[in-house]
Amino acid sequence: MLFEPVTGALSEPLTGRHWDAGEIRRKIAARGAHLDGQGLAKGDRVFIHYGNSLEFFVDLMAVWMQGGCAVPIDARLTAFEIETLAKAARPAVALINDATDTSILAVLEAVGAKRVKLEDAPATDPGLRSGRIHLDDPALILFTSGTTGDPKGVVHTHRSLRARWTSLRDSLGKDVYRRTLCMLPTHFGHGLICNALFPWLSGNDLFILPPFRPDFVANLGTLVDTHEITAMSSVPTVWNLALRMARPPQKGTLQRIHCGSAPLTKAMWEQVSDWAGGARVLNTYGITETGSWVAGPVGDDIEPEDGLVGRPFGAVIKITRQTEDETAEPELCATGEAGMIWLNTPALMAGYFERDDLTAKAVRDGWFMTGDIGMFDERGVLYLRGRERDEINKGGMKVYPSDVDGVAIQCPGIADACAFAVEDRLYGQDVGLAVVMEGASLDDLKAFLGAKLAKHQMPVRYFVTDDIPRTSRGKINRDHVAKACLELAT
Amino acid sequence: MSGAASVIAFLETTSAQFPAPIAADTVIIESGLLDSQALFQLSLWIEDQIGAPLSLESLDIAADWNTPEAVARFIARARGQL
Repeated sequence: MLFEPVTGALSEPLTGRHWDAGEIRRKIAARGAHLDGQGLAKGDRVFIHYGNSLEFFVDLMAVWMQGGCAVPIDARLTAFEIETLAKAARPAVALINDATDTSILAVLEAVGAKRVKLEDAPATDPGLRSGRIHLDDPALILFTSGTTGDPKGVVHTHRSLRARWTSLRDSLGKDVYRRTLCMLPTHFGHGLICNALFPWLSGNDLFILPPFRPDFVANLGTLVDTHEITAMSSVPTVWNLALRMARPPQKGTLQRIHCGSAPLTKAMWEQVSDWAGGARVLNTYGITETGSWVAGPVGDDIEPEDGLVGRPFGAVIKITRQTEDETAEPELCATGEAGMIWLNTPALMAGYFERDDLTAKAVRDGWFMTGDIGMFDERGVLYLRGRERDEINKGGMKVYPSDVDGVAIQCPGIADACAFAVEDRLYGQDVGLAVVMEGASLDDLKAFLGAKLAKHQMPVRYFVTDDIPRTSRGKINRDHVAKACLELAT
Repeated sequence: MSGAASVIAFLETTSAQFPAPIAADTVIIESGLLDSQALFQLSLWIEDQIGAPLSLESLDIAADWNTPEAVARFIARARGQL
């Protein structure tokens, strides 16, 4: 069969619920039958407006078995943001649950998505419907930016996802992941493709926690011991909290900790190693467009260092000199010379959803331009040295400044706005916003933004200014605005 | 100001958004009212209050910090006042 999920068990430590592999298989068939009864056609896009639960994983498989393309949605987004995504993706079906807010239901109805609460239906085809799937069909769309306008959806096919999982199994093995903890959100690449689906679809057991629950992070050592967790992934923010509050695990089951989505310092890397008492810590580099994890510190010759990434997993990396001429063939950097990081991998996305213009900018001759700056040392080990991308990395959650100021300038009484990163002790970065007021108050602006932005996108610092300078081509230099605002504020 | 009142006063300065005024017995941990940032800020504030780093061996925040009242008791105990 082309696609027959061989899964491990699923457990929710919070509720105590547990489905074994046999039950999961039955449920995929039964919930797939329900989906089939709702008229889902091959290629239809399906919003899944919940995550980090047993049902999420089973329903994702059910969508795939029915030939659909899953679009996991961050349940924290506002109705305005979901409407923006829904208008772009035009889902035929939206899977909802009891927690889905009425404002979201109204938005989904308005865009013509059939709202379905999946239940077990008698399966007429216990062999599942894997014949509907073609390897090059779109399997997954993950929206990485543009929730307030101009959405950018990364489209992965079944082929690109399988390429990622195969390369991870080759590079990292699978047995060490036999009891994997997932505490990252399942609507973004790192959490879904690598932390959760890679081990689970390798036949390993997955323990699922709700994302962003600081009390679980503070109880991490106990959770690891209670459920005999062998592997987990994380972001540095998790460790900012856990190292302050969570007692280390004592049973010695934990063998591997991945940490990604934001820079991991040498100091934190070593502290996590100490906390974990012997588990291998892998500072893992990944990008949603390449199926997330694409490199990490494998090999006995690697010790923690600031900026060290390691060696590629199922990818070829090249580093080139920056050039003003986008049509020119970029020159390769020498060893030790920093430049632009490009990736070539069979796990590369099919493209950005209905945005060939963006795809053409990001992918050239099969090479994906990451927007990151890095270098190789003489061992061929990759180091990150910076970032060209215009994003705020809030503890691994990416906030795109244009999503924030694009909304702010729609607020009546606001003449101009510019969002940028401000330093934060917990998250590393958070959202700052410079605004030019024209009659509105800050309270007006906060109320306006609160109705349209998800909480993690809300600015935590505001800077009222007379003017936001632009270049001669009308572009904002966010770094300059940030520097000016922060200097004035101190 | 009582112990619980100063905890509440501090919590109101954090990033947490409370749908209703918090009281001494409001459940702040298990309810998920405190986000990561607010919990992080609370931990720093508690360390300031007790004048020492938190001891991870005995800390159970779901039990020790679940309400402002419990946080006040935790601080008093750590200061040797209970």
